[in-house]
Amino acid sequence: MEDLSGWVSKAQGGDEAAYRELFRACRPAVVRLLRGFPLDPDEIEDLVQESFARAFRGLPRLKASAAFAPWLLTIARNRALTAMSRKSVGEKFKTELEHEAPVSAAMHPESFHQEVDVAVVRELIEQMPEGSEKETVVLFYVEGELSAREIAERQGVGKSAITMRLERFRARIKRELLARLVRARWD
Amino acid sequence: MEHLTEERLKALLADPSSHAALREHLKAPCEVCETFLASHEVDGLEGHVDLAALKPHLDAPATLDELGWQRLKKGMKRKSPLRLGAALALAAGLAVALGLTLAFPRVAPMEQGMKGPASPLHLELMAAAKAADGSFYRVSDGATVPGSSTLVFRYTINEAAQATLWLVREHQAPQRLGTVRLEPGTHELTSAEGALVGVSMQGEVGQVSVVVVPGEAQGPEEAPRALGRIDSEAPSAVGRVTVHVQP
Repeated sequence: MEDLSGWVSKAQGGDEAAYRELFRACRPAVVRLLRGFPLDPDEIEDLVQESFARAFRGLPRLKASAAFAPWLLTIARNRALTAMSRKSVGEKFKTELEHEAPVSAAMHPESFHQEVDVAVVRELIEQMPEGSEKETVVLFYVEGELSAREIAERQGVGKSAITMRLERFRARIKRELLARLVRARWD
Repeated sequence: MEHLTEERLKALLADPSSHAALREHLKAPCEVCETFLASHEVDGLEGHVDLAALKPHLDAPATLDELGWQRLKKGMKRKSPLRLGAALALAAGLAVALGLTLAFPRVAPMEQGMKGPASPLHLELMAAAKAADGSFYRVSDGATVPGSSTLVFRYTINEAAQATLWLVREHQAPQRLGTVRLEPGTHELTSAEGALVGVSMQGEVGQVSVVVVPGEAQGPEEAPRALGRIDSEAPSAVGRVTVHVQP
């Protein structure tokens, strides 16, 4: 990962070039996150814009520059969930109107940050039984080219089904990180 | 076997030593706990989950989306740099200074037709309430507010539109409050004169919704049609905030 912290600090000082660098470096991850939801390409572009605009406006409130990426991704996720609920696709998607990302994203022990690694995700993928669920996760997170819509077309299932599979996998990552967070606090 | 619940999660985060068995249990896959986590946020952890999953996309060399960057810059410049609370406080201060009332005039319904804008529109409505001490605080959809509150609003829309503001009480016919002009982007909801629109909750009890529906609804008979759009073909084109008013 590029050293975003330096750009965040400069952006907090009002450096426009730093904002530009943050947008350049983080946009692919934000787009990938949003493409996991059954949204139109135009909606995704709008949500990318909204997410960065909210994050940049909130930048002065961000206490730790290292927290920028998870903070931005939380904003993008909340924007997607709000958009989903507006589309009435499913009650399972929560609406948190105007839900900003918590600044507490920076409050975890340093040892926890160091453990957040792509290897955790790869390991969880490898542990999955072979089948359509694993194929969905590999296509989305590992190959990283297709959107939820495109995966749905390829597999002949509804696009919301793909989002649900991705959310289930995300919950597995969350369980793993929660276990590590608790252990880090315990240690 | 002990699985995650809201209470156990809180306790575990507050004091990891309190649930040793659960701490161990979470180290291995568990469908029950993962189903719980899929629908419950863990404060401060959500972004880290996505970061772990999407890290390759942050690591990969990225080229600038010049068009997106220019659009973002333009949007950021157009938007007031003031944060919602500050902007509302300022607007409220101006309103008070000029002797204006924050309460939106509840005008009588008229008898004409409704002209709606072309779809698809995307409209979102957010609310803040003025507290007794004059400060403003954000109000989430479904929140409980005191009857002394005055709600003010902020909206986001993707194109300009005339819109009608409705007050919807439980088990009652919607009441048309007036019309507003919506401009593209994110703005505070203001009247044609530029005064902040406020809807007083004085005298209200129970569930109350404030709904902004693009189009100029002119009569009460149009309320069902206008409000029906929430659940029909263009739900994203209707802004709505529901609160529970405590007397």
